[in-house]
Amino acid sequence: MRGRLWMGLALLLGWQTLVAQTGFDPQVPPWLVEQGARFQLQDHHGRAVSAADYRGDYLLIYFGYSACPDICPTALQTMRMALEGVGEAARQVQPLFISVDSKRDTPAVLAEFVRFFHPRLIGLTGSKQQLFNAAKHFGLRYHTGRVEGRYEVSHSDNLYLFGPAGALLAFFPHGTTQAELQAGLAQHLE
Amino acid sequence: MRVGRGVILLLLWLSAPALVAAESRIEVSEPWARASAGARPNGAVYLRLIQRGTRADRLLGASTSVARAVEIHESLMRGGMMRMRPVASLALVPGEVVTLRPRGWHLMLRGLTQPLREGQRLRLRLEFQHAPARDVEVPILGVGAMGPNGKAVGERP
Repeated sequence: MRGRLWMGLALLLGWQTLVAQTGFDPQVPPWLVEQGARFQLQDHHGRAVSAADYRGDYLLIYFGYSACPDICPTALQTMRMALEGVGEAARQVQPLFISVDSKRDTPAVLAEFVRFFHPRLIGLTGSKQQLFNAAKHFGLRYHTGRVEGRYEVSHSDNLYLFGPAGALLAFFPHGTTQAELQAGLAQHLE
Repeated sequence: MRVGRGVILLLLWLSAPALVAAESRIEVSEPWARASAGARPNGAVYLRLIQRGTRADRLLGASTSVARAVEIHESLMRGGMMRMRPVASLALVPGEVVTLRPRGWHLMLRGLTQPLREGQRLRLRLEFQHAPARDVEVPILGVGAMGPNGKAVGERP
C-alpha cells in the first residue's frame, strides 16, 4: 500500500519534471515546442501545402478521419462551439483537420466533409509517408488497417494551437471540454 | 362447490409460472442519430435503455434498412489513440440505466446505404436475448449534435 503510494508520488514528480522541461503535457514532444507545426500535405482543394503557408494565422489542428462516426464529429463540434464562443477573435484562427486515413480521405472526400463543421475548416491529407512524417513531428500515434477483417482507424484525440509566428501556444488533450478549449483560445488570441 | 374449488386450484397452478417468472421489460428512450457529413460510410445511433422488468437481459444487436450492419461499439482511449471496440452484447440489469452517448457507447451503422439527413428519421430494430424485438423511430439530428434537444445526454447541469 505504502509502496504503491511512493511509486505514485515518484511518477507524479517525474511527470512534473517532464512538464517543467517544455511547459507542456508530456505527450507533446520537445521538438514540436521548439520548431512549431511542420507538415507537407495536400489541402482539400488538392493543393500542396506546408505549415509555413499558414504563417500569420493562429492554427488549431486536429488529427482524425472522415469516416469516423463518433469521436471526430464531436471533436469538430467542440472546436466549432469554442471558436464561436470567442467571437470576433476566432477570425484569426485557421482550423485544420488532418486526416490520418490517406487511403480513403482524398482531397475531394475531405472537401465534402469539412464544410459541415466550420466555414473555414480546411481538410488536409497526403501520402502515407507524408502523414507518417506529420504525425511523428506531433508525437502522436495512429493506426489504419484491417482488424479482424475490418478496415479500422485509431487516432489521437488532441487539439493543438499554434501562434501566428508558428510557436506552439496550447495543447488540449483528450477529455478537454468546450469550456476549457474556449478559455484556452480566449487566453491566447489577441 | 367441490368442483369450483378444484377449478380455482387448477387455474392457480396454471398461472403460477407467470406469477413468479421474471420478465424483461426494456424501456427505450431518447433515441437519436447523427446526420452524415456528406456521403460517409458509417453512422451512429445513441439511446437510453432501462430494464424496467425483473429479469437480466442483453441487447444482442440491431438492424436497419439504411445500413448493411449495426454493431454495438464502445469508443475508448488506448495508448494515446481513440479506437472503437465492438462488443457482442450489452447487459441490461434490472433498474440500471444504460446510456449510449457521444464518446462512450453507440450503435454503429456500418455501410450506410444512404446519407442520414438531418430532420429525417430512420427505423431501427433492437434485438434482445429475452425481451421481444423492438422497433424504434430514430430522429436524425445535426452532424455536430451531442444529444437530443441540444443537450448532451446524461450530463448533469
